Formats: sequence, C-alpha cells, structure tokens
Amino acid sequence: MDAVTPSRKTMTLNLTEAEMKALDDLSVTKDISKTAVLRQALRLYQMVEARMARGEKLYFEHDATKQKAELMVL
Amino acid sequence: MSTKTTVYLRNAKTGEFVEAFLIDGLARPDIEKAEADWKPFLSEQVKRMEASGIAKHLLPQHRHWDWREKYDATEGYLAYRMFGIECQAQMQGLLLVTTAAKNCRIASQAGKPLVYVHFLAAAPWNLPSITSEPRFSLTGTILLGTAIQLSIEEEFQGRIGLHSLPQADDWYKSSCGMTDLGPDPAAKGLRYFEMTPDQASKFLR
Amino acid sequence: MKLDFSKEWLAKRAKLEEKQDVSAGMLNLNALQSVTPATKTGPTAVTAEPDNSNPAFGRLINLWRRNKGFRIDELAQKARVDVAELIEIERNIHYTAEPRTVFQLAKTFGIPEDKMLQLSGNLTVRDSSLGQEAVRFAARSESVEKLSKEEQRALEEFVKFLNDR
Repeated sequence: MDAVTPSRKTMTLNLTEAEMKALDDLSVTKDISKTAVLRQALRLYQMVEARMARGEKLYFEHDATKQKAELMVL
Repeated sequence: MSTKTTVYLRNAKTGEFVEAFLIDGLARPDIEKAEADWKPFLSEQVKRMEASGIAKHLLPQHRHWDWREKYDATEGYLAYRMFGIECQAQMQGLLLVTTAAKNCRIASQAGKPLVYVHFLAAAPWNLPSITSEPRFSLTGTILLGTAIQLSIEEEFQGRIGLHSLPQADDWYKSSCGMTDLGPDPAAKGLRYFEMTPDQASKFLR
Repeated sequence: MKLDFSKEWLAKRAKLEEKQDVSAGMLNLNALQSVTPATKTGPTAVTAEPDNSNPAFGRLINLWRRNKGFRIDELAQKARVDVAELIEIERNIHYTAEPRTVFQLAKTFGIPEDKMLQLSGNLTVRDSSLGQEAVRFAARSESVEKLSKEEQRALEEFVKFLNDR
C-alpha cells in the first residue's frame, strides 16, 4: 500500500493592502510561497497559544546580551 | 491520518533487500510497541557494555530517550511530524521533525526556513556500536531522506538542520555531504549540521 | 506527502551507511541550559564540570521519596528513570546522575531543573550559596525509615530555598 495524499481544502482570504504587502515581503524573504508563509504562521500560532494556555509567557532573548523582552516591543 | 510508503531496508547479514514501510503519522500504540521492543534489548546491551568496563561516555547516548514522551509533547501540533520505518512487524527507526520556527544558520541560507530534525534513531538491534550482528541498515538514510523530501514539500528546497550524536558526526559530514557548523553550546556541545538545497539535491540523486 | 526511495538509490547509499550508528537529537526536548540566567546578586559563570561527591542530592531524593511514601521502584516508575540509577543516587555520594534523570526528578519534585543540575554535580556555578545550603541540609538529615520531625523540617526548608532562588 503506498502513500495517499491527504485531502486539502481551499479558502479565499480577504486581506488589506498592508496585510497583503506583509505577506508578499515574507514570501520573498523566506523564499516560499504566500501559502507556505501562512502555514508557518498557523503552526507558530497554534504552538504559542497552547503554551500560553498552560500559563507560560513568550519572550525573546537577545543572543549577545542575553536580555529578555516580551513578544510585543512596547 | 497515517500513510504508508513501501521502502527497502538491507539485511545486514545477507545484503538482501527486505520490504519495509515508511509510516507518516504514527499513533501512540505504534510508539508504545516500539518502546516495548527497543527498551529491553537496549537495556541488556547497555548492561553488558557496563559490565565489560566500557566508559559511560561511550555508551549509546540516546539510551534514555523515551519516544512516548516525545509523542505526548508534540501530538496534535501542526509543526511536528513523526515518522517510523516498520519491517517484520517491528519499528526499525523513528524520526521526529519540526517544520516551523527554525531558520538556517549557514550564511548563504541565513533566515530561510528549514526542517529541523529533533530526533532520529535506529532500533538498537540495528546499531553496529552496540551489537556485533546488526539486523538492518539504511534506516538512517531513509529517515534523513524523508526529512529532506518533507523540506522540499514544504517549499524549503531540501534545507534541513540537526544536532548529531557524536558517533554519527562523520556520516553526516562525509557520507551525506552536510555542512558542519561545529559544536553548539546551546545543545550541550553537540555538533550542528545543515544541508543546503544543492547538498540536498546531491543527496537525493 | 509523496515519499520516494528507489531500490537503485538505496543500493547506492547502502555502502555509505554500512557499520554506521546514525542518530541525531539533543538530550531533552527542552534544550539543556548551558548558561544560567543572572541571579539577583549578579551574573554567574557556568561550567559543566561534574563534582565528585553530592551527599545533598542523594539525601534530597531519599527524603522526598520517603516523605511521599514511595518505594524506590515506585519513584522510578513515576519519574520514568532507571531503578538501578535511583539506588545509586541515594546510596553513592560519589555518583553523578545522568542529566536526563536529574531533569525527570526535577519535574516530578517540582524543583527548578537548573538547581537540580547544580545539586547533582552536573553543573558548577561560581555562586556558593547553594553549595553551603546543601551541606547544611545534608548535615541535618539522617537515613532512617520514617522521616523524623527534624528531617521533615530540613526537607521543607531546603525545597523552599531551591524554589525561592
């Protein structure tokens, strides 16, 4: 028995110009399609939400200074 | 949802190819059975090695891995994928990868997403370092190839990254053609390897 | 997902994997800390040199286990660690536990992992207060079947100290 591709569903997205531009820019920077960008976003969001639901906080740590800061810049 | 692809392992004794199945999407019972099969064999071999005076740092480093924990920690998350190779009703190798939140460190690929190999292991009876008669070979090749093909499907063009366990460093560098970025202090000094799209293409050729 | 490995390709690659142990992965899903964050007293440097004797670590495990009423095999099962290693930890002050075992015990006890790593001798920190407190704790407790009131108090205070820092 060999591989069977799981079925995929199609969805239409309504985005603002700014959102579309952000999506375009990420697609170029990451060298992946806009669909792949959105897949990345969904996977990250799912993980972040699950951990925050467990009471954890999301931080960034600067590699050189080891300074920690929350996700939002302000 | 789980899918199976026919692959072939090599019988290490006879050199013959044996039909196996690469499973995409393992269920917990698969993992429990793998642990139930692997652990006793591994424990026995480790005891034998310890009794013969082999130093601790030479014992199989992944002897304490528990794949049930890995399964429980990652099940249900889109970012994680687990694969296994089943042959003769036993799991011959396991692979856990993440497909999000990991970027390339190689300068020429900096910032581009990759598939990161969290864990890759062959069944203990397939490890030449702990048994004088390994049963099958090619589990590592197939699992690494799986990570690369997944990377291509994700549009990452075959880019993968992993932290090698010491006994496999040379294989990743010399046989797989990966780039060695050296010991990673954030990973207890394990060497970090990456594959570029070109290297991935060469590997699959 | 379409996965494809032809027999010809596998035959070619088989020679390269002969006699190889192929594996990859860090010790733990949560990356092991190689640098301890700065404490209130200032930054601390960290090295990964194992200590030779750890009476406090084995004593902590022993007292916690007995306080909960667990046999060694019951704790081993609960924490998913080797029974043989747990025996070694409790009885051999010169034994350095495997980092994974330390992590599992830390999780089971609800004590910060980095403190347990220090206590077990897997991590050496240039901040001596933990070491001093550990010696005090080890000296106050003795190995008897049931915990004495003094042992119980010593255990509670030490666990509080580990969680507060």
